Amino acid sequence: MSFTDAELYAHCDEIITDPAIRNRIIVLCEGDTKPFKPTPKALSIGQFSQRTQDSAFYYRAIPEWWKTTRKLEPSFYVCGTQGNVIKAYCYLKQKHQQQPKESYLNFNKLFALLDIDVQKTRLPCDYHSFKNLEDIYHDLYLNGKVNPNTATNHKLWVTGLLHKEAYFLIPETKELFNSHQPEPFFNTQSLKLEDIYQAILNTMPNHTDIEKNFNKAMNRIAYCGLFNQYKTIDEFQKAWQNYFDNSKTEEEKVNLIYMLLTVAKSKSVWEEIKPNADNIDIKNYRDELCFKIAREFYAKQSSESLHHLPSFFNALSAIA
Amino acid sequence: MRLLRVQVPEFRVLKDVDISFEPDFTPQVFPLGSLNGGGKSTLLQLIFVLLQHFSNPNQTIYLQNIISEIKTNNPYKGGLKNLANIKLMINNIEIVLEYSYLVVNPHDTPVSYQTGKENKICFFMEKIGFNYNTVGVINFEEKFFLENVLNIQNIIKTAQQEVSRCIFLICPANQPYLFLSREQRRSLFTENKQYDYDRALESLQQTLPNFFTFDFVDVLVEVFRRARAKDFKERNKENPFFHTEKLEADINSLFIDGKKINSLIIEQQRHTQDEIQGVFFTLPSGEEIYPEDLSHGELKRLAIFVLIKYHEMNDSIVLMDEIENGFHPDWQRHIVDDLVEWGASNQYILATHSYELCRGVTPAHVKDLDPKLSY
Repeated sequence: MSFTDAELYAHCDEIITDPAIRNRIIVLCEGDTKPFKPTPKALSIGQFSQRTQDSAFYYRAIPEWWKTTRKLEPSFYVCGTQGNVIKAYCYLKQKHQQQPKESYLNFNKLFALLDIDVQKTRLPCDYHSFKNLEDIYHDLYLNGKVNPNTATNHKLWVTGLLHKEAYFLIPETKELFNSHQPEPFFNTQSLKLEDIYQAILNTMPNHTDIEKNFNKAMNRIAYCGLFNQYKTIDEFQKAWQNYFDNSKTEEEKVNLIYMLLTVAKSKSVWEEIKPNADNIDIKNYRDELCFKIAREFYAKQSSESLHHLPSFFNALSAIA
Repeated sequence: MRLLRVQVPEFRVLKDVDISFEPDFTPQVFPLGSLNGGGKSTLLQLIFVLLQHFSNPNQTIYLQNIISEIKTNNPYKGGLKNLANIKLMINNIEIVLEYSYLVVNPHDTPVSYQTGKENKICFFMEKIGFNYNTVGVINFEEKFFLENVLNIQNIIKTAQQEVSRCIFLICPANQPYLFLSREQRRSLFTENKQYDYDRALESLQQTLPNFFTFDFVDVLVEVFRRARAKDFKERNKENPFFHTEKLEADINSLFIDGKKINSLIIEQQRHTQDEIQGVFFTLPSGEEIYPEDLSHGELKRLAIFVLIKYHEMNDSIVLMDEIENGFHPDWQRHIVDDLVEWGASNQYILATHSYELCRGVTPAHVKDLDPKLSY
């Protein structure tokens, strides 16, 4: 669920006049916006927690080294859909410029973080020379990693992987799933990440937007040279499976997995993960799992980490 | 030990309260929120006093003070009124404690119950029931008569010992506590009587050893004394200051700016029980600073750390009231992480107003109290 335009702008008005944002990095992000109240101070803490759950992963992922900088931590504001996040960014920019005395915002510290997904999303306001999110992606990432030469130029960030949920499923999180209790299950069996990746691959044809934007998605992994000749999802699936089954090293497998997570949807697969136990709130179980991944993997990454989210926080830290 | 559920039909502003604390949630940290006057502190104090009474039935003064808060305008004829039900998990046995009272009207009751002109609570009962895993609720009286009486008594005794060891309440020092008498509480607001309230709190901490306020220096000095006493007792030849040095290292890990703690010792002799007088801190520059030079937030965080790690809070229920006071919002975000790091085996129930604190847990952990009575 997402805001109407009126609700979105009311939400932005609230953000910009909130003293809590003073001197702080502000990151607008996607997520479910129900229940919406125009005045967050009226929310009980229970309602507040429900409303901000989609940003909670990012809060938990703030690296531990950030504390040593003595800089204010970033705050994340959920705005709804990808389109709403961009609208909110543009609205806040305009409002701050028009009424600077009524704004607590430091515009240099305003960011947005969007799932790259596959839709063609144009930018309604001036943002350097970029016309759409795809342009931003190709400037921000180089060979699948954040480009250190351009990262600090960007206020609108897109994820390097297709969905936020892909970051919960990277190969490095394997041990966190293995150690989680109750045991996570996928397709009625003990969860193995290999099964997850297989499911992500197999469900590619189910998503018409992937099919429609196939070439765009393939351009994102063109650097590897492995899939450039394939024109259909079916061809890609077969090629990927062949490369994966015949990989000679773990590094090759990991690279292929990251390529898959860059071009295929993982959200629906993530939502199939369940606990191997009865009478457990499944949504809360997955929320706790993603918190664990944020806290025990991402938050523990150093400032030199090449993973996308730690690189994002590194870039924020330079501005904070 | 875990608190599984608390029910309070009616007590002061609490009405129809029924809150469960899911034992399978991770972390075992449950923020409890309400508006000011919504009953958060009342609920924590009620839970603490009732469980203290369970573990030490002879100590009735605090229970009496709490019960005196019950409105007795409408004596209930013909039966007990339920004050609260508390369900605990102790050593894999679910135990339900049911607290009830009877209000008597001096004109309607037999002579033996007459207590004067006013209605009074004259009977207070604590009933204990057990759920043995999936067996289900057992009829209390039947259980006591039909089962092996010694076995039940052993279970109760073990439960009492566990509760005595494992229930803690940590609150701000300047708060009125319902388990103090009304006169003692009034002294907090009476000119020149603050000293009386402080004395009352000191007395509380003697007779309720699991009750703490967010104070600093006494806690710090005490743990250094204990560490030194352990060193003296163990006389470890490899490192005679093992426990003291470990304590110092643990505390120093809290400071990201390189402050180091030292215990101020009058006499420094090896293998003797030196007298710890206080503590001071050394900055990276070499300058010495004292607890009064630290910020309120730094001292409070330090005190909480010391309480949890060095007062043997393990597998315990820790009730904390407004832990976030004095903390910057960024520090509030990390309260849950800190508590889990310092005492992962505990269950924490945190009465709080802090949205930032709640970012450390999923929404399902967060419990709200809706005030339903005007008081």
